[in-house]
Formats: sequence, structure tokens, C-alpha cells
Amino acid sequence: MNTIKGNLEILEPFVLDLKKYFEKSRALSLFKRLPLRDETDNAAQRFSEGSYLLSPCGIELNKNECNSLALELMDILKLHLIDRSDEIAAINNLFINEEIIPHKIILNTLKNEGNEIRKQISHSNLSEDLFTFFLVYLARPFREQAATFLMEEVDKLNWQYGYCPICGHWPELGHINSEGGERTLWCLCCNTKWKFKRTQCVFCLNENHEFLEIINPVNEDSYRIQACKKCKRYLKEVRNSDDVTNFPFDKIYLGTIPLDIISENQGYIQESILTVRYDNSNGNELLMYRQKVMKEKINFN
Amino acid sequence: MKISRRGFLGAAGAGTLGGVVSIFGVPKSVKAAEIPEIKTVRSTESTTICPFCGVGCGLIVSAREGKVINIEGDPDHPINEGSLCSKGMALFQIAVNERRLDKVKYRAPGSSEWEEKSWDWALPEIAKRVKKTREATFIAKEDDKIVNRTNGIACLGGAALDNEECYLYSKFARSLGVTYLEHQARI
Repeated sequence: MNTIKGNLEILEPFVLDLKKYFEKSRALSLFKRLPLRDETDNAAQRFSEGSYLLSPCGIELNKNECNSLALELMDILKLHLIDRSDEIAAINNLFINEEIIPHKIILNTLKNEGNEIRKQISHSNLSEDLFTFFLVYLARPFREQAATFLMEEVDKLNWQYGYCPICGHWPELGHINSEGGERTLWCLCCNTKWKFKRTQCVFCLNENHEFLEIINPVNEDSYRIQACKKCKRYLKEVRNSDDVTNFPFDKIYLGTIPLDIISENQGYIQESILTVRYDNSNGNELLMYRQKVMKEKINFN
Repeated sequence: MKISRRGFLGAAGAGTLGGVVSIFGVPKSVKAAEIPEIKTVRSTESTTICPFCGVGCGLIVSAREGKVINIEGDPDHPINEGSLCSKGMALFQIAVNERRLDKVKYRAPGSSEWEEKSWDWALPEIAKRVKKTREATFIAKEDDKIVNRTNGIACLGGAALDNEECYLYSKFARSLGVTYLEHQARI
């Protein structure tokens, strides 16, 4: 029985509407004030140091576009997630009653203020999974537009870390090209893609194959989980010969929920998407992570 | 088709935790009984070096339950960047091949038949014959110079031997006095 293939068929119209939503948003002017952009040399320097580019400090959003995107996304959810209409209505009511202001909650999301958002969820008794989903997809056009702006001056994405070079979130899906074998990671939050070593844990850089297992659902060999027994985190992966440039990451990501269930049942965890682990580029934890990458680079050469 | 929890589960045929949005956490409304068990298989991916020649291309070997299930070029290896030559690509057949002999076969001198033998028989027999040949052909001195060699034995290293095996093999051959020592990688 093909669980994932079945899911992908069901998801087709939903993903199509999401795609239209993203395409439409690209034509909008979402920022009143864009994030700060480094000069070319500085950006390259920041990449080599492992600092991601997007810093939401000082940004200002276009309130009208925030409202229209929130409405549009809400309509998509209402249309497709029919059995969660009560939960969607509860979120909708908060917007109508102005208990949640779109541009403020988007700003909270862009600033990775997970605790603030969770307080709101708890205070309003919202469905956490649904509201998180809503916020991540609502903030995505803003992150995408910021990413395009920040990358304008960068010639080549020379990035060798496991987290996203633009927004700092962990990847949510990996694509392995079955012809060349290379792995491309994908960030759900800003739709950025980057290459990363195939036989290494993205999260803790563990390379010992005895602690890094591949889990495949039976009869669905294209889909797999790379699970690290050291840090107990996992990454969903798809392996096929499709070109990664136009690969439908959203569809595959949403369709591979069974892989999340498998991973969770086996004791692996996923960090909250509302926060970033390394929110301070000078923090000790990030420094240790970078040192691991640099040490490995030196050993390799 | 609209996405409903029941529809998504029903059409998918297995556990999806009730709709696409559950990826960010299990909805409280989903009962444990709604999550069917999904069968899985586990494997490992290890990196290694191709044994065939001196280039040293990187490989990724996938194994399941101790058996090799796939071998491919390592895309992150600086030498081959994922590509392999025709021999490297066929490396899987070294490990998994129904035509590969896994028992000792012996054909006695003058015989046209192959007999199956045990390793307990084969190893002492090989040692006995190597010793006999070496003693019969060993040259200790030539033109008053010590040479300590045997011309009666030649050694050919196989393509599928790894570095360490080749090292041991050449040490062993030199200790016998073998001078006809060759390896596939030089051919």
C-alpha cells in the first residue's frame, strides 16, 4: 500500500492553490523597509563564518499586503481543510476581532518569537499545529522576498552548514538526486535550497554511520528518513532523478507526513519551526557547530 | 478532492495524523487508534574507497541487515565527485553476485572434474604446495651475491583487494622470496 503516493494525489489541488498564493505574493511589495543587506564581500565573509543573512531588525511590513495575504491563505485553508473548519473559524475570528493583527503576528514569526506566539496560542486556545502551519506559510512570502533581495549581491551560494543560509532554520526536506547522488536541503520557511554532504547529520554533523540510520517505509523506496542516533533528530528525504530547481518541495514535504509519524514513533524529534536554534551568531553553541564544520574541512584537505 | 482527516487517512491507507497541518504537532483531536502502524526497513550508508585502482574514488555503500544493497559514487568526495568508471559502477556485483564462488573448488592434476572441498582441507594444502615449490626452486645465492628468491611462484593481486589486504599480500610474497609480484591496478 503506497501511503505517500496516495497523500500526494490528495494534496494536488491544495498545493496548487498554495503555489498560486506564492506566485501572487511575489508580485507584491511586501516591505516598507527591507532588511539590511551586506556588501558583496561582507556577505561572502558572513557565509564563510556561518552567519545567515536575514536579520529582521528594523524591517517594516506593508500592512495592506499583510492583511490581503492573511485573508487569501485563510480562504485556502477553509476551502481544503474541511474537517478543521471550526479551528480555522476560531483563528479567523481572532483576526476579525483584531485580537491578532496580521502585520504584528507576521513580524513575530519573522523574528522567530516562538514564545510570544505560543502564548497567543495558549491564551486564545488555538489549535497549535494549524496556527503554526498558517503562520509559517503566511510569513513565507516575506522571507522569500527578503531572500531574493539579500541574495542579489551574492554570486555563489558557498554554504556548508546544516541550517538555512538565509533565515537560519533547519531544513525540512532533503532531495537526493538519484543520478549525481548529491543532496539538496530545502528550507520550508524561506524556500531556499543549498547543497549539503550526504552522509552527515545536518543537525549535529555526526558522520559515524553506526549512529546514522536510513529508515524507509516498505514499498516506498523513494522516500526515506535520515535519523541520527546521537542527537535524535531526523530529516525527511526524497530520492529521484527530478531537477531540483523546479522540484515540488511543498507537495512532497506535506505528502510525507507518514515519515514524521514513523520518526516520532521511533523516538526521534523535530525542533519547533517557530524558533531558530542559533539566533545569536556570536553564541557559544553556534561557535561549536562552526568549529566542527571547519575542523572537518581541514581534515578533508 | 477536499482534504478531510478521514479522507486523507482513508485514501492514503495509513497513518497521517489527520490532515496536512498535523506536521507541526499531533492534533489533540486525533486518537491513537487513528494512527496505523507503518512498516519500515532500516539501512546504513557508509563511505569507503574503491579498491580497483590507484585513483581512490569515494563510494557510498548502503547495507541492510549486514548485506550490501547498493554501491554508488560519493558526490561529496573531492576526487570523483560522485562519478565512477565502469568497473567502479559494477562494484556491487563483487559483493552480491549469484555467480560468485563461495565454496572451495578443487581440480586435481590431470582431472577434468571440479570437486568441492572444505577450507580446512584447502588452506593446509595450499601451504604444503607453496612450501614444496619454494624449497624446490629457491635460490639463495647468485654470482656470490645473496638473492634469496624463488622463481617458481608468481603472485597476482586481485582488483577487489583493498589497501590493507594488498599490503599484507605483498609482505607475505616478499617473505617467501617471490619476485614475480604484480597487481591488477598496474595492468
